[in-house]
Amino acid sequence: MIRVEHLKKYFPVTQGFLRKKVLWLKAVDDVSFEIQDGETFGLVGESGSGKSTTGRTILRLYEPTGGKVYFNNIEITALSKEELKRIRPKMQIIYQDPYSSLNPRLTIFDIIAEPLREYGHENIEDRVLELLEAVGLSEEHAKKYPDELSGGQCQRVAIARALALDPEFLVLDEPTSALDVSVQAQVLNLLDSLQKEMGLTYLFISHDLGVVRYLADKVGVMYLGNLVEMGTLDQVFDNPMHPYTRMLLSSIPIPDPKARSLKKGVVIGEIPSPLNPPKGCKFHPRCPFYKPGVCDAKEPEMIEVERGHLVKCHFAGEL
Amino acid sequence: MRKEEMLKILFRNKLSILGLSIIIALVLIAILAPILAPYPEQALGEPNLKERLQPPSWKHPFGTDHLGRDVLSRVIYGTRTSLVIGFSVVALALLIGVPLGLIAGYFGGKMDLAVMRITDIFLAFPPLLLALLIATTLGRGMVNAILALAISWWPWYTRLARGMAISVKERPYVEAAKAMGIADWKIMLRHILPNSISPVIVQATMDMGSAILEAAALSFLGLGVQPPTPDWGLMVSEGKDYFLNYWWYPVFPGLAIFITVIAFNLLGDAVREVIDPRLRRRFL
Repeated sequence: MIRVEHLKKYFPVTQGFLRKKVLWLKAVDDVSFEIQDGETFGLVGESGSGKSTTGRTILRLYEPTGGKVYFNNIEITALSKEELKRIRPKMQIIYQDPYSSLNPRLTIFDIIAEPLREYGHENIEDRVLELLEAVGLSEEHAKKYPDELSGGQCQRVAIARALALDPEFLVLDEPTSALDVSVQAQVLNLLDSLQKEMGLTYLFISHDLGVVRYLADKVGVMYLGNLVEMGTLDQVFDNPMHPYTRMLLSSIPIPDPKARSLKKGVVIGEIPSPLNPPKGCKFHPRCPFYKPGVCDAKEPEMIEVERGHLVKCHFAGEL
Repeated sequence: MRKEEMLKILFRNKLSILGLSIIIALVLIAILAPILAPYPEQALGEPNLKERLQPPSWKHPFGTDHLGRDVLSRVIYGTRTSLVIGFSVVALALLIGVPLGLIAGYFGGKMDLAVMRITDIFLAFPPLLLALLIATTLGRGMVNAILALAISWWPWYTRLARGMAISVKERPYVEAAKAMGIADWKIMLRHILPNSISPVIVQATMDMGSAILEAAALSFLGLGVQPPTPDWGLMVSEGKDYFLNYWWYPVFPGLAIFITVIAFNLLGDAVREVIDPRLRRRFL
């Protein structure tokens, strides 16, 4: 189980020769959520919302500025470098760009074997073949280099590498965004079946709501470093309460030429710079329900509007 | 990229073939010097005062020097000295420069700052002047000349390797390796180094020529190779006093330097084209 409590990741913005810190970029600002074993938590939001940073900070690929992350009740954020290395095999990550996530100078075999060698596994050859088969590749791919494979095949290799050490938790950082639609479906199906077989827990980061709907059990919507809405898939998708969630959902294309219901709330404006976020509710400049004096004055609290359904809006449940 | 493809690109350009052929010829000449040189003992310094300053002839195709030694033999033997110096200087500079650059780029922060300020100190001097200074301090001789050149040379490779390391360390496969708990030194060796080294190799190939040239300059100024060792720079230096009446003495070793430097530059261009056609030439 993964528990994230008040996670913060600020990046310093420096200036001049002496690298004086002039301000902080609050990429992740007080984010809390839980993922139960075997569950998929979908983290959605536009680019720049801090969803990838959240995923990386949970794995301590970035050092958190504040907050705590628990993995099976072990506080990851408090571990020393050695202790962290011992727990690393249990938590892995898969990236968006399948090509740049594989070292072009290594063969597929060496790429998958690397973690096995690092942790002194035996029968590496058998294990690599087993992993290749598990992700739908075969022995013939082992001798090849990444540039000889297709994007989808490379992503399978990345998955095989992530699975090599028998992880329990995977951060999937837009794992299908760079792939063709037909290949997307294959990779999603693979991820889905691997989860069922191995009982994996996923943090699924994506800007593609359609893909999240397919895989996620719970959904969190991020905006400028904050979670603005969180709940089960049905709660968030069928009964969105935050104006931003509604805006995002209305932007999913509907595969029906007769449906022309897009007018209700098309996405307007762009995400403001996280360097200089709006005061009060960070969403207020784009919000169709913006109330002066309220929304731009005070930051809303996360309110539980129904069991497990949390919304960060002054007018949650009223709109 | 596969090997056949690399060879195809290499042989596409006539100048590349020329450069490569000259280098191969030079290496063969250096290895076979005792067989090729008509007067090996003179090449190594034995004077032959009866035949001082003879013009080129069938007996002495490049003429003889002020001690009557066959210039052709000495030029042939000089190939050994030059190649050894060029290779040693570049190898030594790479050995110091590349690891430092990778460490600075990969770890960043204070480490980077420290290493880069040190390279700045070295780079602030005009290249040959610094080598001269070090050679003067260390004393005359070939080994000291090599050390002096390498010490003034490594910061270039540090800069280059650092720049590459900074760009490569941001790639997801490096982060993936960190996520797997791979040790930093293994990440540097397995992921950063192989993906940063191409421009360094190109630069090093071209620098072989420059190193030979600078070593010749040191010899010319009396700080490098000492007589009677056969060395092109030294021969030009000794020959300059006889230039007006006995032109062959400094001209043939000078030509040898010229051809060798050109050949390494051509080869460097070729290597760059093979390794990365998009790579830009670094202006020195």
